[in-house]
Amino acid sequence: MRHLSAGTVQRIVDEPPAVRDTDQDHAEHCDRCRDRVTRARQDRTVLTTLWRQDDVPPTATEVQAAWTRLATHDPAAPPSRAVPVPRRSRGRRPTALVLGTALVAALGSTAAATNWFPLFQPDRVRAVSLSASDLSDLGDLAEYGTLTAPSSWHPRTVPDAVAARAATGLPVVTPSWLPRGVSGPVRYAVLPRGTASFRFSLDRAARAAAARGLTLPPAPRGVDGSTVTVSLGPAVVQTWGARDDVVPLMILRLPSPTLTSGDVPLDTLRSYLLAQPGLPADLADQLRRLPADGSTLPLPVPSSAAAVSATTLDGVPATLVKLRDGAGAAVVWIQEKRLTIVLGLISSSEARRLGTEIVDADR
Amino acid sequence: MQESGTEASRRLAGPTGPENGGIGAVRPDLEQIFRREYPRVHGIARRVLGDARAAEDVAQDVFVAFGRSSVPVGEAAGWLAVAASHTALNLLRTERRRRDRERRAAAGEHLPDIADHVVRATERARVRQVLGRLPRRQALVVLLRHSGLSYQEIAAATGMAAGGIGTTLRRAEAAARKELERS
Repeated sequence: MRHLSAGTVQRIVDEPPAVRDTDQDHAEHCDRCRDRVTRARQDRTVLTTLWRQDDVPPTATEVQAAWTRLATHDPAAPPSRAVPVPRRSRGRRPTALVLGTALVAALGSTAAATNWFPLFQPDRVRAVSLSASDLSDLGDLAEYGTLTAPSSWHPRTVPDAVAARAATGLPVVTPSWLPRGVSGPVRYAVLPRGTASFRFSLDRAARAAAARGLTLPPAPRGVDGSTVTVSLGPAVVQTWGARDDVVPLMILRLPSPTLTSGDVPLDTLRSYLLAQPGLPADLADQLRRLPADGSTLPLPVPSSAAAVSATTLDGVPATLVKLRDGAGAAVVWIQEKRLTIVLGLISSSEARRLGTEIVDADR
Repeated sequence: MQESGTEASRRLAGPTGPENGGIGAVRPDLEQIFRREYPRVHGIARRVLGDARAAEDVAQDVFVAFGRSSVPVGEAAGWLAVAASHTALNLLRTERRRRDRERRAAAGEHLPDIADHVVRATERARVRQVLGRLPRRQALVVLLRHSGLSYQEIAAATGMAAGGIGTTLRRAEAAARKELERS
C-alpha cells in the first residue's frame, strides 16, 4: 500500500476540496496517514496560536496614516532599506517562448532545401525538459518581438458530445469508466479555430539581450520582421467534477497544431533562434535533437514538478507526464493528426487506461 | 488634519508623475492597490517582527518599491506579499545577528542578558526565532500561507511549482514545531 505524500497530507489540512477522493479515503482508513494528518493539523494550530497576537489588522485610521506617510514620501527617493524584488512568475510566457522556439526548431530541412514553406503539422509528441533555472533564464516572448494571440479563443459550452462533434468536426469519445475520485456529470465545451502569430524584432531582441549583458549573434537577412503563425483548433474540451474551481479530469482534443512562416526560410529562423544567447544550453541541445522533419511536437515540461516517460497506448506512441508529488498525471498523443490530452487528479496508470480506451475508440 | 486620499494621490503623482515622465514616476494605481493590500503586507511583516511599528516601516519600504515598479495589477498582491516577507525576514536576520553579537559580548562579562531572557520568555518571540532559522523558501511559504494565500497564489507569486507547495509547507511546519518543542 502506498502512503500519502507529505504534500497531500498538508493539502488535506489546507485545501481538502483539491485532494482526490482516493487520497481522502486513504487518510481515513490508514492509521499511519491519519496520524500524519492529525500531526499536520496540530502543527498548524501551534503556529496559528502563537501568531494570534500578531494577527491584528490595522485600523482604518492606521491605514490612512500609512497612506499619508507614503504619499508624502519623496517620489525620487528609494526605500530606506533594500526591498528584494520578487522574481515574477513567468509560468506561461517562457513556456510560450520555448514552445515557439521549439516549434520552429522542429521544422524540417525540407522546407529550407526547397526554399518553400509547407504547412507543418506534427504527428507525434516528445517532451522537452525545463529546469527551474531554464525558466528564470528565459525572457518573455514579448521581449523578442510582437506576439498576437487569438482574441476570441474562448470556450463555448455545448449540451452534449453530438453538438461538440457538430461544432468542431472532431470525434468525441466519452470514457466508459471514470477513475476513482472523479465524479459529477461530464461537461462539453468547444473552442473555435484560432491563430497566434509572432513577429520577430531584431531591435527588441537586442535590447532584451543587452539587459542581460548578452550580445545577439549576427542575424541572417530577412530574420528581422519575419512572422511565424501557429494555427490551433477547433477544439473540444470535456471536463468532470461537481465544482467549477476543481476539475479532477479533463480531456482536450484538437487537430495537431500547424505552423507556417511567410517571410524567411524556417530553417534559417530555426538556426537563429537556437543560437540565441538567452536559450539555456541544455534546452537548445534537446531542441536540436528533435527530428528535423517537422514531425514532432515538443511538449515543454518543468522537470522539478513532473516526471516524463514515453509510453504506448495500444501501439500509438504517447508521452506520460506525472506530477512528482503524485497529485496528478497526464497523457498526450497524436493520432491521425489529432492531438489529445488527458489530464487530471488521477494516477498515471489511470491516465494510460483512459488514453488506451480513447485510442481504441478512434480506430 | 489628515490628508485625503485624492490630495495625497495628486501630490504623489505631482509634477514628476508618470504623465510627465519624471524620475520619480509613480504608478497611477498605487493608492487603490495600497488600500486593498496594506493590511496583508503589514500583517506579514508583523508576524515576522512581532512589532506593529517595525511592520509599518517595512510596509512603507515595500510600497515605495512597488510604486516605482511596473508589476501588472494582476500580480501585485503576490508581488507585495513576497517582497514584504523577504524584507521582514532580512530585517529579522539582521536583528538576530546583532543580538547574537551583543550576547557574546555580554557573556565575556558573565552578565545575564535580561532583555533577551524576557524576549525568549514570550511565545511570540520563540516563533520568530524559529522562523528566522528556517530555510528561506520554507519561511516564505509558511508566511504566505498563514497570510491567506492559496497554493496556486503562492506558486504564482514565488515561481515555485504548485505541486511542491504542500511538501514545503509540511516540512516547514514540522520543523517549526520541532524547534518550538526543543526551545
